[in-house]
Amino acid sequence: MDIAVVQDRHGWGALMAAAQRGEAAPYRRLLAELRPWLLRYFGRRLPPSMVEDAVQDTMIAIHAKRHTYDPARPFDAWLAGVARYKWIDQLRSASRHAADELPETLATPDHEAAVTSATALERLMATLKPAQSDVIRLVKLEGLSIEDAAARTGQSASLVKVNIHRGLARLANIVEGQNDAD
Amino acid sequence: MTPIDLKPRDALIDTLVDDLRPTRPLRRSHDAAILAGLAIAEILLFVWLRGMRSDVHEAMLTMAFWWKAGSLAVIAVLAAAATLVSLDPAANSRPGLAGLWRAILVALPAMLALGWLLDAGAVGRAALVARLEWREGVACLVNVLLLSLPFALALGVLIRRGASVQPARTALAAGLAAAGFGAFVFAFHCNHDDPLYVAVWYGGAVAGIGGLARLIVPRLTRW
Repeated sequence: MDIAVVQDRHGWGALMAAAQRGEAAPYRRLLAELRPWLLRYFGRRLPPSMVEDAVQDTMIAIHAKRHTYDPARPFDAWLAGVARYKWIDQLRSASRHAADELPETLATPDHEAAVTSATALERLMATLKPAQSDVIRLVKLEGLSIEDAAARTGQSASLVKVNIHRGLARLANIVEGQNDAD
Repeated sequence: MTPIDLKPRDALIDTLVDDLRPTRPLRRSHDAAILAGLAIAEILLFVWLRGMRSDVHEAMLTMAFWWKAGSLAVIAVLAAAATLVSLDPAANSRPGLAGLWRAILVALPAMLALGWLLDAGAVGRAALVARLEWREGVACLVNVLLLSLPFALALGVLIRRGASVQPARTALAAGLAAAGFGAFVFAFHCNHDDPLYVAVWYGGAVAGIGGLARLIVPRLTRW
């Protein structure tokens, strides 16, 4: 990409360059502006219960790896790379905790809204076997217990866990294999 | 009174801003210079300790000698370049990195094929097993492994400092680079040029170290 045509749409590249020099005020503004962007990014890609964790984890990663941003290049591409890496990371870690049920406070009572907000996630889940996507939807998006999901789908409780684990791991692999996620 | 912190985000931003220090940006040319310096230092030290191969003047007249040294250098440099480029999260969206991965994929079989061509012209072949000289071959494996360790260590430090968004690929490339450099250094001392020997023992060392790195490095460089 030609450096001369790089656009700094939100001015974030300049803010990050200042942060790299140790300037606190631009850095605070950058983080405050990145937070809603990340909330939207993960809101479309993860179950609602995982979004806040993903946002905070990504902000910490942005902080720890801020020296890897090259101010001569677009900040958006750098940010997208970090966010996508953390998205895959969250899917992997969720697959390792397949049996965890949502805490009551995080289970969304409004199922419809929860499901439709995670559009990119829905698109991905369509590529899974129904046995996997059904239980991920029930347990991770709608907050049902493993037993309830088992009763609803006719799978045994242990099969529900296996299918959540495999399905989420597969999602992580699919995302990792894609060259560009919107 | 509620026990729940209603604005954890502000606390996180405060913490991160408090922790802000000026940083030294990633410099690929700087990292590449470190690896090159390490390679030169290791070659000088190794040749001083173990000596140059005894038949170096005759060997330099053969194709097999240049094939061996050249292949190892190409693998080391390509894989090291791929490792360093992949440390920037934005690298994925750049065509250069994809080109490097492809070059590595093409280079490895091309080197072996070239060795096979050289081999086909060889006369008076002994039994395959005899040509492998497994005692020396195993010593060669161990030597390459030891010589690749300083490079693996240096690359590991660079990977930890960087931010690869493809940890498995970066780790594999780093392993191939470390093994390529280690084998290249060892080639100064080893006087086997038989393509079969080189393909099996050098190739085995490079593949084995690449595989080990692929397994171990991602665990140590998570971010």
